[in-house]
Amino acid sequence: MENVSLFVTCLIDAFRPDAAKAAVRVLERRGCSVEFPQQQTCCGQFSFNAGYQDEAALLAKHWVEAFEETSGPIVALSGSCAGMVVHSYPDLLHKWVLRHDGTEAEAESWRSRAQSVANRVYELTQWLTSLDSSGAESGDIDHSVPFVYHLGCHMRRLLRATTEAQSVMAPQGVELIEPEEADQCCGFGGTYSMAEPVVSTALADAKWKQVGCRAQESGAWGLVGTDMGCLLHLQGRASRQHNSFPVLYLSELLDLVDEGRLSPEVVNQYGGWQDGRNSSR
Amino acid sequence: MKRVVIAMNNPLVEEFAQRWATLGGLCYFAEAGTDPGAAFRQAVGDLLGEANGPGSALYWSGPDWDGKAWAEWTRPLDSVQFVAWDGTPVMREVAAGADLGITGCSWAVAATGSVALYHTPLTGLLPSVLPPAHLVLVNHKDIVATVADGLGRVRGNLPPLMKIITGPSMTADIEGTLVVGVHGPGRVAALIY
Amino acid sequence: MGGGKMAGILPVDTRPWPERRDEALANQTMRTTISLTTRRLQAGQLKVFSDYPEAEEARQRAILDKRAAIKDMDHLLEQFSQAVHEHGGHVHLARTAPDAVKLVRAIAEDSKVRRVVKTKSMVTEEIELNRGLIEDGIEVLETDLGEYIIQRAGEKPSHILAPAAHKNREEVLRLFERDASQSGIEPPPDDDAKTLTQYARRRLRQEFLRADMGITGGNFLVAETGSVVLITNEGNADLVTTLPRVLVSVVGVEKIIADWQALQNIIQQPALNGVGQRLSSYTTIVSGPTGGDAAEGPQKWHVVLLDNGRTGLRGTEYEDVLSCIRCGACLNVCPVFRQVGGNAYGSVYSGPIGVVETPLLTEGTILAEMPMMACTMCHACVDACPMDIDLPAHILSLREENVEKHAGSFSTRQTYRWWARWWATPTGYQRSLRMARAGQRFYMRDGMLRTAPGLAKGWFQSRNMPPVAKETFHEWWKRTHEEGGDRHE
Ligand code: SF4
Repeated sequence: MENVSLFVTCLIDAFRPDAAKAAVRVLERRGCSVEFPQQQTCCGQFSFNAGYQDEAALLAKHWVEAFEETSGPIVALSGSCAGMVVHSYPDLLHKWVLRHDGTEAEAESWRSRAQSVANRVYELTQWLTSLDSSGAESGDIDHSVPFVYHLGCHMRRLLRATTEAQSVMAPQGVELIEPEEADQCCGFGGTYSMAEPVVSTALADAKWKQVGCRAQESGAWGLVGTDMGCLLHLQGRASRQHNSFPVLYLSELLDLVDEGRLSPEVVNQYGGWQDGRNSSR
Repeated sequence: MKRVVIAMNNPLVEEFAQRWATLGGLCYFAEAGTDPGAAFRQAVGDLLGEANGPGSALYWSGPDWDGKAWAEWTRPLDSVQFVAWDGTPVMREVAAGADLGITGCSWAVAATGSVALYHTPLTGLLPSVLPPAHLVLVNHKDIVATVADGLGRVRGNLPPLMKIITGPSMTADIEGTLVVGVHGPGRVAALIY
Repeated sequence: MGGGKMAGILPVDTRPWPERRDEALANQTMRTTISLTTRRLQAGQLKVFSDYPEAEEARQRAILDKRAAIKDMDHLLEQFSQAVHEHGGHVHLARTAPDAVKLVRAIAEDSKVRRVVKTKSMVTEEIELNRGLIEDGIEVLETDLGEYIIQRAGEKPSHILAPAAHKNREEVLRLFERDASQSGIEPPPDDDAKTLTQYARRRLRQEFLRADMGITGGNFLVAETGSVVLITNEGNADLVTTLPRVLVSVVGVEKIIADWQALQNIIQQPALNGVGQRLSSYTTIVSGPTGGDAAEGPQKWHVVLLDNGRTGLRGTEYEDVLSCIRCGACLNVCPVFRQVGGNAYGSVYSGPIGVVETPLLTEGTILAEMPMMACTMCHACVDACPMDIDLPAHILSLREENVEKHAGSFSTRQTYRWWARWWATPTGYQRSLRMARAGQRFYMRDGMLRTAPGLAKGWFQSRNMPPVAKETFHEWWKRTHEEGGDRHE
């Protein structure tokens, strides 16, 4: 039994806790004992990308302290937040100490503290593919259910985790298909979505166009992603345009498969946002 | 239009010919020891196009062929007016009016399908760029593997102007549509001997 | 050369970003062409490297060469000047854009120049050279097809490699018809791309032959040999360097490389990364004038080396920006560039490199907002950049500088402060979510958030948002996992 600590991210915590609950079930079914460090808040990427480095450092420090308490793997429910910790924390904290008149030794010590926690971070599908058993077998797969997969930019380029989600889902009888121009950003970009909503939305529309094409060709049941930021942005746009194509977080999809509940009717409940969507379970 | 003859049993020649053809260039071969005249006339005819009737060609002789050989190659082509490059300023107008430019080259590159020309008073660059078609004569011994190998040859005795030609003149500036023959030639051919 | 550092001067479109952006987004022709062009070029870059391992090896060496050359720039520029001088050419150093224009105007006056033909050059756009020459009564013609088109339209290039990407065939035909009637020649018979290109060939041919001065940019300056290397696909650089009697090459100081060996490593990179070819159609290497009575080549050759804020980047965290070879790969992959095209950036340098370089060269005096407005932080640019320039890191640093200096209104700043302080403690974080949940009903309709105050306002212009959950994950965990909690809800 592997002990893992769950990093749920602020967006899932506040806006889609069901995705995290599904992740807990999915992990437990695969033999992981899940801990949830309750000190955790937010990785600080919003501030970091907006140029507020001091503010980001404050949150980064807190994050490092919260997860230093744990040992073993840290499973993150976001490729982007995992990317932030792995890719940006060590330098961010190093610089922050120096900027606030700390010594080089203190700066180094923060860097290595950040680094050693970062070394334990896995995005959910990275962690699932690293497990020996791929978990609950769903018997013989004679045909796969298609979903369009949105791979976020940071998962693609900072974590280089470009095939993990497919490897996790394929044995479960779900085929994840990327849209055309999959490498193009959906336009979320954290605070970019608020600071420059016009371009951000143009990108969301371009992404939906490609997702729509792919869905039509493949008969996909819905859109699946591994970054809640992208998904809220995409579904938020869809909702404004009365497009109710289902949007699921990967853990939610996997959980449905595990429970034998994968059907078009159930998946369709993930389309559009209705009152109470957050407490569907 | 593309004519590739794999010959000479030399991997560099083959690679060069292949890349040159990929770029849209024509390729002709004269086996070592044979008279290149036939291949030469074929190339000139293809480049000028029979429909176009008589044409004019501006050429300069390389070190590999003398005036006598040249006269022999060109004699049967009596509808084509051949003018020899002499390096004087009047050559600008001649080059601008010619239907075909014929030059040698200092070296050629297999990996990229390129040919390199040096400016000297007797080997001008204009015949390779002003006329709508260019025929370059390539000695198979001058084909090197890489651009770096070719550039290595010129280090230390650099001419004031030199150029490396890799395919026809082209542009995609209008709606991304590829068009050949913008300012330089749209039709290019290599005769390997 | 070094000496005192000085901010550069760049042309700028002074309209505010939203205006430039909206104009771009409304231009469907531009958006379609830019989208096609960038996709084609990106695919070309990926493909050409896939079966050409030598190209990747050369790229690695080229990066090292280039970084070293930037460090050794003063010495190498000295060496370059000497070599050019030995071949009979002249080298001038221009500290700023106006200095460079002044130098070229003086050269033109000296040589009694009436007509100028030019190759495409970002640097001459940067210094707005044409305007200065035209003021002196000199006729200046761009000869790159795309540049010729936009010069006829009186516009600016929308892509480094495809300057007229925002013009469709009908627009080009109309421009050429007007041009033909002005210059008394036959107009193009139709709007086929081939026909239009043939027209430009015909029209410009006579100009090449009678121009007295050619002006080029330069892709590389080779210090060892005193050479300027030019790379084009159309062949116009060959004509500009061989036909007019005076040749002026205006080149940024950062284009310096040490020697012939370095040239061998880097020479293919612009074509490989810019257009997906192993080498562009024409690589022209100028190392000196050819003399008085030759049929071709310039009698006089001048090289104007432009600083304009470049040397100020040396020794800073931004030094690698000077390695840029202007291949355009970062533009091609940039999602924002693909939507708005080049003109919206307000600078001659657009795309990821443009939003970094423009404020840097001008010490933040122009377009300081662009690093925030034109980047989603997707990191596609650094992956595409052959010179491994860390563009996202620079964009972040510039955002940071911007926040520190001024931008970001007081209330925005306060919001970020407050946000970080509260969220850096678990109790503050959870309390803020409870507060949001309590207040959000004022912003909801049909179960969704439709609007919000402050920072989040922009989101709701075009998107909805679910409300904060009735029970956050934190709350759920506490309820179900703490002692006495009900594990099964
Ligand atoms: S920054 Fe890199 S990718 Fe962009 S133009 Fe320069 S060299 Fe090319």
